[in-house]
Amino acid sequence: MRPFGQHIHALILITLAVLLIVLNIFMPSLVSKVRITFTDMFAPFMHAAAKPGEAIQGISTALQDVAGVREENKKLQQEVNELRAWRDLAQQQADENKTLRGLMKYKDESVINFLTARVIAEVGGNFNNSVIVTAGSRDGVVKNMIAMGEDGVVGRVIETGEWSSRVLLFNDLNFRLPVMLEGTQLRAILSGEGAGLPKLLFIPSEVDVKPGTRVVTSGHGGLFPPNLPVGILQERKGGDAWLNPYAKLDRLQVVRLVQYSLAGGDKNPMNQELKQGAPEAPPSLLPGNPNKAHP
Amino acid sequence: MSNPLHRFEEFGKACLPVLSCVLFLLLMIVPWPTPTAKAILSAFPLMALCYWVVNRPEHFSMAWSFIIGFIQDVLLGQPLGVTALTYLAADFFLRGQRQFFLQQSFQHLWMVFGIVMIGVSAAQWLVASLVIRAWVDVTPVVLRAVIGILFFPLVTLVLHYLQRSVFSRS
Repeated sequence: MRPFGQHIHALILITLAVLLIVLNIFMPSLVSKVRITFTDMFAPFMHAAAKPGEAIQGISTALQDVAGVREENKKLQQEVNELRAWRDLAQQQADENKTLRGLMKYKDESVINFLTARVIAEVGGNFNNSVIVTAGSRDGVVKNMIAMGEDGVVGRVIETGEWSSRVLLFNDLNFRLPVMLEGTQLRAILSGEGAGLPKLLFIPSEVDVKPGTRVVTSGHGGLFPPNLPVGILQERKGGDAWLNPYAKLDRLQVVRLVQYSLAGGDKNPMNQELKQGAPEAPPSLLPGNPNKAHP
Repeated sequence: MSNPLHRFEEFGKACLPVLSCVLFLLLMIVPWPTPTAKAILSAFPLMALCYWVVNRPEHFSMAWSFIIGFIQDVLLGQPLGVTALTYLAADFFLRGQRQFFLQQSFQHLWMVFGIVMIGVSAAQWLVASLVIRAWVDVTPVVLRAVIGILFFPLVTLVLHYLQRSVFSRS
């Protein structure tokens, strides 16, 4: 038989838990503030706890590197040769663009600043997927910054504390991103599916799109700039399509946080919100000195 | 009057169950080289909670179940209170029956943990479905629950060894 005090104790705690759940619905901003404050408090512990995992990963990568160094070298040499041709073409097109913009008095529409942050926690449950990075508001991180991995988009910043920030990955159930299928100008919405591959919504079933088609950001909504690589079309079944992401979302070590805003973008409500929430950017984030690595 | 060293030892003993849960929480969220590690480690805090509630309830009050659940919600970015509530429910159920569980074999306790794990996973799945207002895929929940149940003996063995080595000293 349980003592009466234990029942009261349980009742108080259960009421408190239910109140917290209700707070999520009615006061999401307060909940977000509480969450990031606690995350900030735990950041040093997470940083320390991540060290053994990093060491294991380092050893495993080093062993793989040694084993495949000859093959890798051959592959890289081939890639360098191909990229040289692309570089020449890019240089040629950049010069041409510059000349044409000068002729048309074209005003550059975007301002992009970025910083690099280390991933200290991968906080994935069954359905939610996010990472915590070691850069916060003191480093110039603001809500809605774009997170990029080595190969493409990985998500966006949803909470910013003083020392750490939470990045919602694009395989989270709550993530939506306007994308475009390259070469077709066909637009779709990328939707996170938890553990499975992300889905591409609103692709008309009568439109013939081949698996392997590159998927990039469309730039709609003003939050993400256009043409950032996201992944390739993996599979298509009727009206449903799945994306194979470029970024390895379960093996992120470092992410680049990019602040994108339209020049003089006061008309864009998304960017207005971004500006209001943003502290004064440190000198390292100002245009002209855009790159900042954060350990 | 007890000496400071003895008091420090007692304090260490009292903290052990909570610290083990927090350690498992941290292990669960730090980046690992393989995604499988994350699936295996995701049930460890619940396993530790079940173990300490049954074996050392005097060092693991119901408030700790709430706090561990709350910290998990905070770090995982889940709606606050959901894991806290499910952990409280598991705690309430186990604490009420602990005398009975202590007289049973390990296989029986394993089965009980299986039931608790299924209940907690079902609650998480329901909340996720409510949040996005659609039935979400149940496969990852089932997989993680099965992995959690399979690893219960290993975690129990580690905690049992820890308990014996710390609490047997007087």
